[in-house]
Amino acid sequence: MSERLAYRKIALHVVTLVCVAAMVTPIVWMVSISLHTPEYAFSFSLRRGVTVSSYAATFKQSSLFFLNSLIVASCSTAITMFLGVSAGYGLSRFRFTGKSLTTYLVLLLRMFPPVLLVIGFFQIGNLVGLFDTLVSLFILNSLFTLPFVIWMMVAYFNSIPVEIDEAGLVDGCTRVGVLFRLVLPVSVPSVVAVVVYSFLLSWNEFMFAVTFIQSNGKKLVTVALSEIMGEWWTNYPQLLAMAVMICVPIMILFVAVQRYLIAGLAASAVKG
Amino acid sequence: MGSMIGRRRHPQKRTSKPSASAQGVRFVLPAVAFIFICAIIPIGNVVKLALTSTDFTTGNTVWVGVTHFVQVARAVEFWSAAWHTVRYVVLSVFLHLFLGLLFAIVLNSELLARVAKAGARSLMMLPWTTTLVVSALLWRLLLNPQFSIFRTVVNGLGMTWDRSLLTMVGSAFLGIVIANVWNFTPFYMLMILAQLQSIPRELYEAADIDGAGQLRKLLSITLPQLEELIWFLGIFDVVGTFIQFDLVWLMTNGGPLGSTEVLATLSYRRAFESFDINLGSSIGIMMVLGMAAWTGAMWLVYQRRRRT
Repeated sequence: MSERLAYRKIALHVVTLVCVAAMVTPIVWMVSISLHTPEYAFSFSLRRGVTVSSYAATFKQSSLFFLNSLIVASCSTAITMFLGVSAGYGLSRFRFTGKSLTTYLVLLLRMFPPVLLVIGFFQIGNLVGLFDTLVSLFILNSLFTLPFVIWMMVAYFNSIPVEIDEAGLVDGCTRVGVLFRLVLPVSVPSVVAVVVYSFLLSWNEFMFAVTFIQSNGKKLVTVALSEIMGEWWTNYPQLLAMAVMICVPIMILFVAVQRYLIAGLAASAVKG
Repeated sequence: MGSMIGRRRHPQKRTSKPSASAQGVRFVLPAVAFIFICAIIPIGNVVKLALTSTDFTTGNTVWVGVTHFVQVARAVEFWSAAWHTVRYVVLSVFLHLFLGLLFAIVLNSELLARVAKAGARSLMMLPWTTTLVVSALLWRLLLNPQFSIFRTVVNGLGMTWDRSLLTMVGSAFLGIVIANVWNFTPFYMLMILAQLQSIPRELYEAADIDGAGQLRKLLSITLPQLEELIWFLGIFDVVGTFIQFDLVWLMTNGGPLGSTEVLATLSYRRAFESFDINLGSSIGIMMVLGMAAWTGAMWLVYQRRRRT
């Protein structure tokens, strides 16, 4: 009987390995190509043609784009967190007229095609002078990310006992004070996870960026990559070095906070 | 208070009812105002665009009612894009949930070492964090025999592969689905896994005592516990995939001969490439109406099932 069990254990581990390999291989491949010279780009040799020069070259050429993306993602995240934490607290702790209306509004926003938002915003943005500015992206990314942040913050706040709030109120704290000095410090890991997720969504964003930014100096890194993809380009290591630089830092951040993030996503899914 | 902070509460259980207070409005107001100004107004603008026409020379905007919608409904490209979108959604959502369930069951198994579980979970999450731009790039390379590592496998099986899958009418669609599935399945796997982990062991142990086999346990215990979550995930996935733009645009840009054009890309194309913003708006509104109808139908079905 234990022999059968050992068999099944091994089989299961092999199956798991295969699944993981299927998911991870493209990423590993991407890193491998980026670390080789163009001639050896698609080989897997560990010694010949290994170089980091592609990264240096890419960094020299596109550091401005990375900076732009960083600015957009940071500011969008800041806006979203401010609005989302506040709204999440309100939805978690209070009953008020218009509460379900708010909930439906958030849901509606999530389900709305971004394409339509872009079309609608385009004309208005032009009138208000927001075309070809990073600010337009702050707004659009925030809109896109807000539903997720609100839902996750509601779920997190729901899991924090109201007794903490009440203790603070009894001691003479205002509601806002309770939020900032009692509830938030308790949920720091979760808030950090939501910040990372929100940052990820804005960093990865493409459609808003490609529509609203015209000038080269404000271009974002996702758009830059897509443009290089479109050209006749033979220097694949450099292309993929840029891809790695776009992806890997955020991946590392993500893995660091995954426990809280998954818990929050699961909680908001169950609640919904 | 320290002991309370340390305790992990199940996110669903509330400790007391929310207090009725208008203060809630204050907290919610910034977000609502933001959404109103920055989303509702543009949406109103889109509705206006769909129902009017603007003469470029005179700048006059004229109410044309449903003219644009009729024009859209008459266009073959709209219906083919709609069909492609539906195909894309059905196939992607099915694979997301099916593979997600499969992977989650594997990762939830007790026979798996804890290190293997944690490591596998972290690693399998990575595709989800990958930018769609990068994912499109990677899969364009992977589906092209000139570069792909799969070429050795295919040649080993004795088949010939000389053109990128994305350049052929039938397979381009599948190529995009593969990229989509690679990117998003991890999310669904993680959601299902989280739910699986909350199923009490006692249920399985009781079934073991009654002599139930693996399949029986799966069908009678696991799946019913997952049913509600999978419904919820499915509905959200349908909406999310329906409105998706990036992958299609970047991998095939509508595909060989328009065979991968979906409604989102068509709407965008008509608005910004054909400079017919009214038409693009109309296509978009029809997308929204379609989704609203579908969501409404699902809601009714859900309510019906809850009553039985």
